[in-house]
Amino acid sequence: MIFLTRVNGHDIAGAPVCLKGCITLKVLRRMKLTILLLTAFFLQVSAKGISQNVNLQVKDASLEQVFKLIERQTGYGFLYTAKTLQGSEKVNLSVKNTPLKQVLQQLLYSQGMTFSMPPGGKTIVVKKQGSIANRAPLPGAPATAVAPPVLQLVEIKGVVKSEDSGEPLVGATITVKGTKTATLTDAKGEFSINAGPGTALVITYVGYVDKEITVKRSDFYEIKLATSPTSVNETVVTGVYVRPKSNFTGASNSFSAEDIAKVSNSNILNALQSLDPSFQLMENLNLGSNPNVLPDVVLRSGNSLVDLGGSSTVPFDYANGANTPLFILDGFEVPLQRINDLDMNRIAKVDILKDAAATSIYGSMAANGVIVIETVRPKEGKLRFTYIGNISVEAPDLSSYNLLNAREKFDLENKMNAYSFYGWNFRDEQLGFFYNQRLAAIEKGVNTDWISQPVQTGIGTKHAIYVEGGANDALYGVNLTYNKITGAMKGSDRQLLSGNTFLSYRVKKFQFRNDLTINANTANNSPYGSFTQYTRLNPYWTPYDSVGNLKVYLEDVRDNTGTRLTNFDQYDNLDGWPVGRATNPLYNASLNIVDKRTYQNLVNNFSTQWQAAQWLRFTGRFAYQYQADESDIFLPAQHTSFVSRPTFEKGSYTKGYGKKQSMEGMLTADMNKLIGQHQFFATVGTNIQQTKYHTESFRVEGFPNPRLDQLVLGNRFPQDSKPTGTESVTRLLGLLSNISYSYDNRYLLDFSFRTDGSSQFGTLRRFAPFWSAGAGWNLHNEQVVKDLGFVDRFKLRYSFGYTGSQNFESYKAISTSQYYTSSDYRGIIGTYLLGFGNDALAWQKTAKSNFGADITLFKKIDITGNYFVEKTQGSIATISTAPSTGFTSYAENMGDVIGRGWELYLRYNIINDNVKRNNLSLFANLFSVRNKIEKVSSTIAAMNARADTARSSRPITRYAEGQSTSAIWAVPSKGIDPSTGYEIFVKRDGSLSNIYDPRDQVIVGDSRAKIEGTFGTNLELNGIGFNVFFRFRYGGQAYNQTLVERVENVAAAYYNVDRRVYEERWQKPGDITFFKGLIDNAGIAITEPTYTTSRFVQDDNLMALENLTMYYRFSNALNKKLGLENTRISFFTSDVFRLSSIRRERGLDYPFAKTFSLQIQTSF
Amino acid sequence: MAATLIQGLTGCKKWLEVNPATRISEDEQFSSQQGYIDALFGTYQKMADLGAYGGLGTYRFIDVLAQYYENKSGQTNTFYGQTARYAYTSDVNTQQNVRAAISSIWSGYYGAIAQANYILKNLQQHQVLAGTAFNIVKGEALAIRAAIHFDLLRMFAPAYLNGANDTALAIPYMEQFTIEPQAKLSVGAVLAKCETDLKEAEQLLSVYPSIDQIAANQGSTSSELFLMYRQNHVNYWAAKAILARLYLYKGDKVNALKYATEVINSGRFSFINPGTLSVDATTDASDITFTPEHIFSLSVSNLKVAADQYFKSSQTAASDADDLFSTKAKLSAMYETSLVGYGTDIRNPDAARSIWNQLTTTIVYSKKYYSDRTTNVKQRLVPVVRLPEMYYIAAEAAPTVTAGLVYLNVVRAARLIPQLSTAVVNTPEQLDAELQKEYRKELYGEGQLWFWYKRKNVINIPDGVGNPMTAAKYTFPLPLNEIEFGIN
Repeated sequence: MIFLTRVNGHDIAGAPVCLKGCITLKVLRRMKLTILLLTAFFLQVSAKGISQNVNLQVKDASLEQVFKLIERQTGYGFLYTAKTLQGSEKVNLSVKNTPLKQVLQQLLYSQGMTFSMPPGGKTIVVKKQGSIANRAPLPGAPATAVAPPVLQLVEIKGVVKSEDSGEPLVGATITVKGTKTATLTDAKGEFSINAGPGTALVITYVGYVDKEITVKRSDFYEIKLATSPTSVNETVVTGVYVRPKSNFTGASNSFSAEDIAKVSNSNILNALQSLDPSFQLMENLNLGSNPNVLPDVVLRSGNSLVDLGGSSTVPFDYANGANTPLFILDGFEVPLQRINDLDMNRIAKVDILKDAAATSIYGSMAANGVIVIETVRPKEGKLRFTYIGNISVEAPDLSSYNLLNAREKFDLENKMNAYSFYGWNFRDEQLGFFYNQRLAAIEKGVNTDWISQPVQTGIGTKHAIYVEGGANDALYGVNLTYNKITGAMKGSDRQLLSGNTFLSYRVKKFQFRNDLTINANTANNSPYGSFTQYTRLNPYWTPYDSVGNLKVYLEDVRDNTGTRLTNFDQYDNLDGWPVGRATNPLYNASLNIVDKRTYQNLVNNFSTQWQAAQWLRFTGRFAYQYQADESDIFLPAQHTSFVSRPTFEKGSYTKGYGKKQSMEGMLTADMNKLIGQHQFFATVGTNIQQTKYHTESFRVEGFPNPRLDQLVLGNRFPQDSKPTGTESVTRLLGLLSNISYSYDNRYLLDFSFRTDGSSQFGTLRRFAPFWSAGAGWNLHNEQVVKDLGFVDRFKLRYSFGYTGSQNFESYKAISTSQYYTSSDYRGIIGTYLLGFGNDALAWQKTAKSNFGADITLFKKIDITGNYFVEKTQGSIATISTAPSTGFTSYAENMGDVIGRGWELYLRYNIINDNVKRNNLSLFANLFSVRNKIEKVSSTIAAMNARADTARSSRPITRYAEGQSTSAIWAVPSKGIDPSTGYEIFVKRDGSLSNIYDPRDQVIVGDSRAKIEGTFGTNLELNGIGFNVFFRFRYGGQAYNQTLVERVENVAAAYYNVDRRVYEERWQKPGDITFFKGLIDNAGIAITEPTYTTSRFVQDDNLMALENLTMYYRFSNALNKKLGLENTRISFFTSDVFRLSSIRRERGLDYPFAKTFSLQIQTSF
Repeated sequence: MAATLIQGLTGCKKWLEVNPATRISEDEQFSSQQGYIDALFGTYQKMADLGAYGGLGTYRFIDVLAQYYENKSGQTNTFYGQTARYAYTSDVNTQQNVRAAISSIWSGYYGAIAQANYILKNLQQHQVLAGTAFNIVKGEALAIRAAIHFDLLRMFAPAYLNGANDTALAIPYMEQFTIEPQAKLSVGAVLAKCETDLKEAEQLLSVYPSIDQIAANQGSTSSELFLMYRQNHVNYWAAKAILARLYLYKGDKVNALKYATEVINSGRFSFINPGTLSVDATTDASDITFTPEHIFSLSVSNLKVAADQYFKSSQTAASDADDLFSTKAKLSAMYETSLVGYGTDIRNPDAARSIWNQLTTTIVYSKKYYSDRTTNVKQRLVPVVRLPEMYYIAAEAAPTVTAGLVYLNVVRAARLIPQLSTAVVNTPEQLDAELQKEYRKELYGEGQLWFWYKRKNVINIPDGVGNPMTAAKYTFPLPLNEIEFGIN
C-alpha cells in the first residue's frame, strides 16, 4: 500500500491539499496499469525494535499473504510489482525464530525471485530473477549463495522543496530512472531511496516541473522543484480545499495571474468579465465609468428573484445584492468592494466555481456561485524587490450623444411655436424678447458645447513595491501600493493606499502564516453633479457673463421696463427643488463642494497547519476584518439649490459613519489515501463567522459662508430631522465535508455535505443541510480512447446538489420591537412591533445540475462545455397579508425561478512552445441562459396588477409566472400614423387604436441576450505579446429609454435634445417617421407623453473590442545586462470601439470612458 | 457523548440567536417585567396614534360621520365632505381620502390587537410575571383586545339590531399572534368572544380596583408608573364599562344595567364640579375633558399637534380646510339654550367657563383637546369611556322609563340643566329621544355618538348631509388589502 500525502505549492490560504494523485497515477498509467506498487510506509515507524527473526506457519498461502505476515512481524515493507508475483506458486512454510534473510531466501528462490534489503531502509525489494536457468539450483540454499547486483545500491536521502516558497513538498514521487523503484516524500518532505551510483532520480509533483538528479554517492540532497507554468490549470482551489482538476467533477474555471494580465490591469472584475462570459457586470447606462460606483455582479445570471416589494438602503455597500456571488479572498469571505479595490498585481489565481459540486462546500452562501481569489506569496531567496508602475488615462466617450447646436435648437423651438402664445399679444410680446435675445446670441456665435464642460481626460497612476525573501523556515513579503484613479468627470477620483505584510514560519510539522493588510481609500465624487444636467442645457446659453465671471442664472431676459420675464422658468435643475430658472451647474462646481467617501480597513488572516501524518493535515484559520467608513457631502450656502432658502438654512452638510467588523474561524482536516487504484481525498471541517455593522447619518444645515466647511460650524440640525442609521449582526456556523474518490483515475465521484446554522434563518429552521454529488469519467484514460492517439483529455462530468443564499436583511426571522422615540404614554416609553418575525423563514434553496465535458485534442484544441439547470425555490420575498393580522407584509420563502443555460469555452493553440514562451491561440467563450419564473408571491402579483394600470414611460419590471425575469412589457405598436403623427396601438382584441391603454401591455422582448460571449486571440512571440478581447451579444432586446426621454418625452422648449427631435419627428401629414409628431395637424405641440410601447423595443446586438493589450517581456539576457528580472512593459486599452444595433445615450449620470494604460514591471 | 453533542448544539443555537442593538427581540423583551410593561404601554401608544383612537377613530373621522362638524357642506370633493356623505370608497385625494382613513383605522386597530396578542402569547410561554403584575398585564391585554374588536365590529359590521344581524358576517377575531389571516366571524360570534375576553379581564383585574387621581408626574420614569394613572389603562372598571356598552349593544339590558350600575356605584369616578372647573388651557388646573369622569381615556402624546391643526385657526386658509368646528347657532340649538334653564349647561358655548373657543359665530372650536400647558397631564387625553355614558346606559337599560329617568337626571343635574319629569318623558321612545340629545351634547369630539345612531338605526341624523341613513352607510367596507389578502 502507498499512502500518499502531498502539499500543493500553490496552497496559499493553507488548506491542506492533496494533489499528487494524478501524477502518481500517470506513472502508474505508464506502467500500463498492470503493475501494482505496494509498500507500507506506515509500518516503518512501528517497526523499530521488532525482532529480525521470523515465526511463520503457513499452508497453501499466496506469497502476498506471507509478505503481509512478515511485514507485521518485522516492520519491513515489501516493494514489488504485480508482474513479479504473476504465476507464483502457493507456499508451505514452517519456520521458528529464523532470521528474516533466511526465510526470504527459502520463500523466494524456489519461485525464481530475488530480493534485496537496501541498508538502513525498511524495505524489501522483490524481483524476478530473470530466466529459469538463472535460478539458484537448490531450494533452501544458504543466503550466501546469492549476491544480486542490487545490493550495491546506496541509500540516497533528501528533501524536496518548492523553489518559490521553500516549502517542503509532502508526497512528491521519487523514482529511480528506468526502474519501477519509487518512493514518496514524507510529512516533512523527506525521502530515502536506494539507487546505484550514477543512476538518475526523477522527482515529480503535481503543479511542478519534473526534475532529474544524478546520484553520485550516498548523501543528503535538497531538491527544489520549479512551479509549472500550467500548474493553475491542474488544480481547483475552492478556498476550503484544493483538488486536482482531473479528479474534480464540478464546473469551474481557473485563471492565473498571467491569464488576467492579458486582459486588464485596472480591475479584476472587468478582467474576469472578459475571461468568462458567465461572469457578468451589469451594464449601467446611468453610472457609466464612475470609478466610485460598485458594479452589479452576477454569475450565470443569478438565481434570486430580486424582491420588488422590499428595498434595502444600507449605505457603504455593506449589504450585497441578492444575486451577487460569494467572494472568497485567501480563504475568507470578503465584500464586493474589497475585490473591486484589490490591487490586481497581488492576484495569483482566480477560480470561478459554478455548479453544485464546486460550490456546495459553501452551503447557504453558494447559490449565486463562488469566486475564489488567492494572492501571491513571497518567494524564497535573498531579498528581492519588485516594482510595478502604471500610468492610465481615462478619456470620456461622448460619442453616444448627438445633441443639437445652438442654431438647430433655436430652429426647433420655432418649429414648435415656442415663441408664440396662441395670439395672446402680451405673451407673444414677452416671448419676443426671448426670441430676440437668443437669436442675438446665436448671431454672435454662441454655441456652447455643454457636455464637454464637466469632463476631462483623467490621468491616474499606480505604484506598487513588493519586497520578499527568506530562507529555510521563514519567509516574508511586504507590499505597498498607491493607486489613484482619475475619472472622466472633473473632480472625480479614487485613491487607494494599501499595505500588506506576509510572514510564514515553519517548525517541524507546523507552519504558521500571518497576512496583514491595511487599506485606506478616498473617493471623491465630482462637484459637477450629474452629467445629465449638461446634456440638457441649451447651447445658446453661455456659462460666463461678459466679464468672464461664472453666471448663477444662465438667462436673464428683461422687457422694456427692466422687469425680468419668467416665461421660461419651467426648468428643472435636478437639484430636488421645483422647476424654476435654469441655473449654472458650472457655477456650483466652482464652489467649495465636498462629496466624498473614505474608508480604512484592516484585514488580518492567520493560519496554522499541522502535517500530522503524510496523509493527514489539520489547518486552523482565523480572519479578522475591520472597516470604518465616512461620507461627507457639503454644499455651501451659495449653491443654487439654496437660492430660495432662509439664510440660516443655506448650506448643508450630510455626514455618515459606518463600521463593519467580521470574524471568521475555520478548522479543517484534510486526508488523502491511495489504496490500489482507489484514490480518496477527504476534507472535514467547521467554520464560524460573525459579521456586524452599523451606520449612522445626519444632516446639519446653515453654513452661510462658503469658508465654513466644517461640520461643527453648521448652524443646527434641520427642523424635525433625526439621525438615521442601520445595524446588523449575522452569525453563521457551518459543518462541512467533502470526499472525492477516483478509481484508476477513470471514474470519479465527489460528494459534499454541509450544514449551516445562520442567525438569519427562523428559529424553527436554524440549521440548513446542503449537499451535492458529482460523477465524472476520464474517457482519455480508457484504452480505447488512448489508442486513438489524438485525445489528450476527454472528461465527462455531471453534478447535482443544493446550495443556498442568504443575501437578505437580517432580523426578518424574529419579531422585533422598537421603543417609541418621540412619544410617551404617561411618562413611560413603550415599544412597538416593527414586523412579524417569520420563525419558519428558511434559506433559499437552489438545486443545481450541471453536465459538462472537458476535451483536449491534438494537444492544441481545448473545449470545455457546460449545460446547467439551476432551480431556485423559496426566494425570500415580501408577502402581503391581510391587515387584520396587524401587519401588512412579512418575509416568506416565495418565488421560484428556473434558469437553463450553457457555456462553451473554445481555444485553439496554434503555437504552443512553453520553453520559449511562444504561443498563439484563438479563443471563443460563449454563454447563454434563459430563466423562467415558476411562482411569485402575492405582493409581486399585486404589483403586476398595478403595473397593468400604470402609465409609465419606462417598462415596469414584472415577475410573471411562466415568463422570464428580464421580459420587457409594452403595448404593441404599429408605428406612427403618417396622416396624424399619432401612434397606432394594437389592443388586446387585435383592434387598432390611437389611445394608449396600459392593460394592452404584452411581452415584446427580453433584455437578456440569446447568446453572448467574448472571443479573441492571445499571441506572444519572442517576448512580445498581443491580446485582443472582443465582446458580442446577440438576440436580446432593450427598451431604448433614450429615444423616449430625449426624443419624444422632451420639453424641447426648455431643454436641449437629441438631434432626432429636430430631424426625425413627424411634422406634417405624409411624413413617414419613426417618431411621433412634434406638433399635431393644428400646429400645436403634442404634449401627451409616450408610454411604454413596442416601438422602442429594439434589438440589442453588440460587437465591441473590449480589451486590447500589448506587452514586451525582456529577454533573460537583457534582464541580466540590466541587473533585473522579469521585466515587462505592457500597454492596455479598453472599449476601443463598439458597434451596437441600438443607438442610445450612454453614461447619463456619468460618462463612459475609454481607458489606456501603460505599465512597467520589474524585479531586482 | 450524546449529551455533550446535544449541549453543544443547544449552545450553537443560542449563539445563533442574535439580538439587534437598536431593536428588542421577542425573547429579550419578554424576559423581564419591564419588557411586558413596555409592550403594554406600547399597545396604548399604538391605540393613541392619530390615525387610530388618537384622531380618526374618535374626533376626526367618526365624529364627522356623526355630523358634529360644519366643514362638510357643499364640499363634495373634500375629505370631510365625502366622509359626511358616507362615500366610503372615495379616494379623492384631498387632505386625506376616505378609503385611506378607513384603511388606517382598520390596520391601526388591528395593529394594537396584534401587539396585545404578542403580550398574551408570551405570558403563556414564559413565567416572568406573577401576582398582581401578571393579572394586570394579562387583564389589560385581554380587555384591549376585546375593546378594539368591539369597536371594529361597530364600524365594519352591520348593527346588531336586536339580533337581526346576529349571523351576518362581520370581522375576524384575532386571538393569536399570527400572520395567517383568520376567517370572519358572525356579529354574534364576535360579540361572544368580546364578552368572554372582557369577563376574563374583569376577573383578572379585580385584584387591583383602585383608581388614583391623575396627577402631575412629568419627568418620572419609575416603573411604579405601571400602577399609576389607572384611568389611562383599561382598568377593572373600564372592563366593566365596556361590558355594559357591549351588553346594551346586543340588547342584554339586564347585564348592561348591572355593569353600568357597578361602575356608577363604585364611587371611584365623580362628575366634574362646575364650580371649580377650570377651562383655561394654558394653566395646570384646566380640565376640559372632565378627567374625574374618565373611566378609560388614552393619553395621546402628540395631541397638541392635532388640536392645533384641527381645533384652532391657522395662519393659512389652506390648513384651515381640515379644521373641525361648529357654528354658534348649531351649538345653541344642540344645547337647547333657548329653553328655560338650559342656558346654564356647563357644556354650552356661552357657559361662564366655556369649553368652546368662539372664533366667530360661524366658527366655534371645541377646546377639549387643547394642550397648551406642557406640565398639565390632564391635557392630551382622549376619552374612550366616561361616567355619563354609564348613566345613559343605565337609563336605557333600566326596567322602566321612570327608573331610567333617575339615571339621566343625575347627569343633567351635574351639567346644571333641569331635571326631566315623568310627565314629559313617559315612553321609551321619548326617553330615547332625550338620551339621543344628551349623547349629542355630552360626547362631542369623543367618537361615540355615531355608534348610538347606528345602534338605534337612526334614519335621519340631526344636522346630517347624508340622510336618509341606510344599512350600507352604517357599515364601513373592508379595506382593499383586507379583501385581497384576507379570508373572505
